[in-house]
Amino acid sequence: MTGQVVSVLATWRAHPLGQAAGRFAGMPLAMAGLFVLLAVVLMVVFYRLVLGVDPNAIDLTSLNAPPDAVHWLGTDGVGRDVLARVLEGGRISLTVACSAVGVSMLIGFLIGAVAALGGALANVAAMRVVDLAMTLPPVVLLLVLASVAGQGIAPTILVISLLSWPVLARMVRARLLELREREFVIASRGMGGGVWHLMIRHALPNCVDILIVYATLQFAQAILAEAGLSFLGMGIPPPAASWGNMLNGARSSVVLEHYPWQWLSPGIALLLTELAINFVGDGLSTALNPRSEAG
Amino acid sequence: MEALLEISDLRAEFTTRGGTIVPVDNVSLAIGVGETLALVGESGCGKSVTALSILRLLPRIGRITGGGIRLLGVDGDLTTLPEQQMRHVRGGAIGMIFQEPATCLNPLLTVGEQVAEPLRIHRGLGHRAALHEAIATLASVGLPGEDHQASRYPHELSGGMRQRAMIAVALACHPRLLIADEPTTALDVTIQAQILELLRERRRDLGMGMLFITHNFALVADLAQRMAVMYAGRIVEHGPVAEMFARPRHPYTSGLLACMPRLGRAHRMRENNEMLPTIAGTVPRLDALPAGCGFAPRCALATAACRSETPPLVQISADHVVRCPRWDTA
Repeated sequence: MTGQVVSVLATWRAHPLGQAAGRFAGMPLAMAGLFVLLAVVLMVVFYRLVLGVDPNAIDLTSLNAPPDAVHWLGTDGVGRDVLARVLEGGRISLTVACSAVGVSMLIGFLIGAVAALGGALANVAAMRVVDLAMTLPPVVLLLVLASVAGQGIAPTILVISLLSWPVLARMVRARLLELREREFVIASRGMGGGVWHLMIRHALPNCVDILIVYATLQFAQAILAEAGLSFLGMGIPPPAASWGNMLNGARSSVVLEHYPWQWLSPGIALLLTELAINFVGDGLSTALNPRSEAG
Repeated sequence: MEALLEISDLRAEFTTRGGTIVPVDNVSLAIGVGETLALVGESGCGKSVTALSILRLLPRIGRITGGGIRLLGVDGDLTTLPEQQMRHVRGGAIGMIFQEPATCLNPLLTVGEQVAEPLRIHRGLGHRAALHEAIATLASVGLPGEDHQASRYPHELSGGMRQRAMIAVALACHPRLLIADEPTTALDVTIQAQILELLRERRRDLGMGMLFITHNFALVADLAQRMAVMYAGRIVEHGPVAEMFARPRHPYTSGLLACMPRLGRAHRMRENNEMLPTIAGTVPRLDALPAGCGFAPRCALATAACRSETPPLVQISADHVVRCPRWDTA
């Protein structure tokens, strides 16, 4: 048993990903980002167990109340607890971002892989679709898609993921075009591997670095996109909380001037999460690139 | 002898920016069951393209434009077989060992997983069963299981060990034919000897035929029964190894053989201050082939006829052909 564990550990350490994890652990900024991110995720997932305040409960005795012992971050204009809403908003924002990144990664990888490994026709067709998707102005497309798809969590996920896959598809295709000519891929075809086999066994492991870095950076983008959509009233509709619609609800000059906790809280949460994710993403891209200086 | 592989009049073309080139022109070869055929020639003569054509793994610019390839036990012609069936041939009926052990293994998968892949594809084994079988296969090529070789990554292995792993991938499904494209060129001599011994042993145990591509005549003498010499995409001489070594008929064959250093001769040459002979000139570029015999510009025996039209293959004995009108003077 012990021998097995030791051999599994040795295998992991020798694996390129294991080595990258080692490099990542040596970067203070990236590690700090990782800890902040983990803390945010834990708080957002488990806050109900600790806080015991409903984010939609209205406390009519304290409207626009400043932070105190009962409402740690104060209340908003209709007496809802800001802390609970920030955490609930984080929950929705992160869910939306996660799903949107997942969907766009799936689309991006598949289209990129088909373009590179399929025939010449598939390549041309896939890349023209990518070109088309990239030439559309993102903000306008976002708004049009959102107005067609409607409000709510699922349409928001759809809109964000449909917008972000083309860049990934291009990166995957570029990597696989190079990979396709490598001898071990030809050798793999020489022992009977088909396109699907090549995709799963060779293309996917060789794109992991691109996918991970893309996922972290795109995750940050997706949170911002969600906040932006919700701020414009096209994303998550009230009364459900999201960082975007909380900022939207707090944009009158009275609130800006007199009740700063209502917009500072979601704003700072957004900023911290964004920074943490970006540090993690930077760290990962350095750790996963064997040619980088820090390696 | 029953023919295991029969290539007839194979022609492959590459479409390049400069036009169409023909790296394999009218090549006919046959390999019997359990027989080893050596394919020799300088770099750029079309040996590897011939091998890749058999498996239909030509680069995207290339395609087979003529001829046929038949394999014992496969209905139909390998050049026209549907892709689905072709995949069963690759790695199943035909195993291939590539030249560079360093680049032919996926750096991100363990050696065991890579040997298990053909087993999963062709024998339909599950993950565990395939890995188990892969460990046994690795052990049979001299990478024993007790020190966890199967769970190592290619970068943890030496060149010789990687080539063994590559051989294990090629042999995993007990192919009837093994194509070995300069399998020992990248290795040092002691490892080379071990790899050859391994191949010989597996050939004996499995009764498989072998197409052995090399430019090392010592290996040819050691391993092959017959050899074919290629020059500029064409077969120039094809016959039994012993006969061709004793009496090469094509000037290119005799030139190549003369370039080989020999023990007894080396001493005499040093005393007389002689240089090792070489063949003057280089292999012509395939996009600028001379008219007639491709070797004529480098040939001391070439006549005006050689430079204007391609000489036909001449049958000089039961299984010895040569593409030279002046074969009896070579």
